[in-house]
Amino acid sequence: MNSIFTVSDLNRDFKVTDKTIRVLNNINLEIEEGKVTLILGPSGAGKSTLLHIIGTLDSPTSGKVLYKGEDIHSLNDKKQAKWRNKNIGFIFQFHYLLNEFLAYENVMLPSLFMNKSFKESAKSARELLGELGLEERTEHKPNELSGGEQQRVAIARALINDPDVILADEPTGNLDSKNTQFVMDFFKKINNEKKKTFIIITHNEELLKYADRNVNMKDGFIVA
Amino acid sequence: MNHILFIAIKHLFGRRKTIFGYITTGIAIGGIFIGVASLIIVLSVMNGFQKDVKERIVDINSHVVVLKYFNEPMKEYKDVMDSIRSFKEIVSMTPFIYSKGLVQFENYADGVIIRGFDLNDSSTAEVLRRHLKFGEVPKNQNEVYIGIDLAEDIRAHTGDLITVATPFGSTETMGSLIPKVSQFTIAGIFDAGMYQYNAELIYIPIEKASEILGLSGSVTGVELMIKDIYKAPELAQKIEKRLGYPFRTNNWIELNGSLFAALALEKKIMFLILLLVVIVAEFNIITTLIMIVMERTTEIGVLKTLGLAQRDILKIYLYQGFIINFIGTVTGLAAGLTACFLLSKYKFIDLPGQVYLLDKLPVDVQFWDVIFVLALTVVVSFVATLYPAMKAASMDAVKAIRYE
Repeated sequence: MNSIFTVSDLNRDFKVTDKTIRVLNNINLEIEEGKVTLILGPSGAGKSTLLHIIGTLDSPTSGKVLYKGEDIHSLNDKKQAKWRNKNIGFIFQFHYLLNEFLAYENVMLPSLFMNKSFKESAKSARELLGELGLEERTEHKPNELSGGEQQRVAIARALINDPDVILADEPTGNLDSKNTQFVMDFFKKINNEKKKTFIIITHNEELLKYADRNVNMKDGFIVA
Repeated sequence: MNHILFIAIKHLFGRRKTIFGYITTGIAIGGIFIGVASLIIVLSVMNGFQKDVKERIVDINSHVVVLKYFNEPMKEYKDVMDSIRSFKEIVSMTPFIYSKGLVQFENYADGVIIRGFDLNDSSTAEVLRRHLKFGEVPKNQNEVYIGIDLAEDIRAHTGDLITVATPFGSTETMGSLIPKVSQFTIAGIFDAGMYQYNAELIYIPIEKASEILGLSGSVTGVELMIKDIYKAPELAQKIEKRLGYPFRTNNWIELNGSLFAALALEKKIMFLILLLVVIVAEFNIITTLIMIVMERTTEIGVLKTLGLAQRDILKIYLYQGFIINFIGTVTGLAAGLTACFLLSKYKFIDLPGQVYLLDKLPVDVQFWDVIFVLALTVVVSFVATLYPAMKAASMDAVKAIRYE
């Protein structure tokens, strides 16, 4: 087994007024490269926090996350940002597109952050939107798109830098079954074709059929 | 275009389509606009004031005067002139008389400063001609030249016969002083551009002045016009050294020192007050930027997930602050300079001369003042932008996107 992420002895505490709440409790986890890993569990189980820590959006109270052997939380802010930009595609329940930017402009942002030219970034953004069936929508603003379309734009944005890992937090949580199926099929397709690693948080047990592996969490512990 | 600038511009000008967003940005820009424009206008007016007052003082007065101690009458003025004639800095010199007296015409009378001048001195004639308003410059011993406000005060016109009285007539019996009274025709009326002069000065041909003041041919002193007016104190000292006791000198800078000091101080104070306008305007900018940052909490978090570092976020907001300040500063600068240009070209603001020395609002835009205002605005605005930008940069990405 070839692990892309190794999570070891991970704890995360949150201070709420004068109380300390342990949201993640001694998490040890290997994420296999090129596989789809599903994380399931009720609200408040700590799934999102785990995902954020894996993606360097949050830091652990103790413990380590290794990405291909490198301790990503020991990097400084600038290096972490660069690492996210290059290796990680984030997808959330809400599309979080920037309202003032057209669809393709939203998609090309990560590419611009990589210091690629406007022209080059815009070209790959349009291509990617085409692959997601949005060639007619590239010049629209997010609020002119349907919920399903918005999420597909967000997916294109997550993929534009061709990251190794896609971290998705309830990516289909706001979608109807038809759009859910489209998104999951698309994920599966690029997982097969490009051997991308997916870590997907969900409530929806129907998604289990897409998973190579599933992790169950409860109250900050991994239960299975 | 840099991608950070790209985001900054989109964020700033694409604020949610509420009129509120535009108004706050507009107010922020407007504040800087007003601050910069008023700084430039006011500083230029202060400069203009100083320059104009100086010009007028130098214009109608001599640059250096040679006197005797205790203002003793100077009989040997011809010798004095001969002995200092070799100073190359001197453009012209002429004996003069300076005294006080009373002017009366019909039922009106006014205290005046009597200036005795040499009818045959061409440079004096030229100065007098330059300020001529009505009539002509005096040509003989019985004609006088008076200021326009004085003429108005005593209701006299050119050609009128006025009476000039001086206290130094002849001491008559019983020790009482009988004023000496003489009559003159008003040849001309002048406007020196300064109320003080227009209301007080009367030019009387020097021989006649000497006579009515009981000086019997003596004068008050010799006045000099020189090449570089700012070298007046230096030259005055040299002349004093050459002539020795009982002669002394005075110069225009020394005589008006307190006035110029007051003007300079006033300029400094106005600058500080108006700087406060800019500082208050920067508070507007801080508020606006904080509002933008608050509105953008989620976006900032998302940008971080997409690979922007804190430094990049900081830059986005520094750029936004810079853009707001830039627009405000540039438009303020343009408005200020335009207003100064119009003011100096059309002189449409009249001043009450009695109060302000000058009767038009003068303007003198000085390059370094403008540069100083701009530099200061840049510094103040940078400091103001720093806080909101740092706030945005330190925003927790997770808080922005958590929805559980």
